[in-house]
Amino acid sequence: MSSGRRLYWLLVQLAAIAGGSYGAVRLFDWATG
Amino acid sequence: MGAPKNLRATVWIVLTLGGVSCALTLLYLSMRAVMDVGGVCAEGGPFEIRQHCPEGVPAIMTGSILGGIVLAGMYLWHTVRRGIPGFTLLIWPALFLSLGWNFFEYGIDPPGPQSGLVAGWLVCGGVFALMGGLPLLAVLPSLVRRFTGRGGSSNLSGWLVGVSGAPARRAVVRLARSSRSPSQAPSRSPGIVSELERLDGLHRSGALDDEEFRLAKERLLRGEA
Repeated sequence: MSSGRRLYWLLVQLAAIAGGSYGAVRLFDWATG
Repeated sequence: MGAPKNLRATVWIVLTLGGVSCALTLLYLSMRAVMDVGGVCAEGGPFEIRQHCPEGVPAIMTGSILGGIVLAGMYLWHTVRRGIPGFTLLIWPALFLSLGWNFFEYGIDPPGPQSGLVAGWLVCGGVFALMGGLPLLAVLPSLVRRFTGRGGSSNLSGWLVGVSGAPARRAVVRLARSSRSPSQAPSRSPGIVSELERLDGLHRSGALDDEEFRLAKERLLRGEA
């Protein structure tokens, strides 16, 4: 796997983690009122 | 890897890893909500409940545990199948270190009328820190190697027994070279079929990426011709 592809997957996954965490905070606030 | 295939893989990885991250964060927040009401709460049953749980928290906890397990399995499946370097091995440390942090924080500064250190929570924090920290130290070097391309493997055998993808690639090249020998031409066809199947297996497991698979297959087929 090329270094470009490894960097691509690293950035994609970091973005997914950040998005998931942000979504969880919003979801928790909404669900617990 | 073609654009549609890459896009599909990206969508799967984002959905599954984002879901795991969401589940871990929900669990972390739910635990804090329970600790805010003293660390113990209950809902349902034919009993008189002294401390009800915060609204929505029991459902969030149950959903995040079950959903997190399912999504972590799907994430592992997609990273291994597509040969993508992933964070699966960090899920366990992330779970225990985040919950251990809650134990430490609330053990040092408990909510409500409690004051002073809460020994029970601090002990739990220590246990959780060990359960998360030791595996983290163990997997971190392998994770760094995987993302920097200095060894390590993205396939399942690599995850489980530390076998690098490089020996598998070398084996494929040796196979392709040996298949060129003219003296073996009459009996080569069945061997090539099985070698193609092996190549396909290595490709599916992630030991070979698309380009390596294509080159090895071309070599094999040229030898046959």
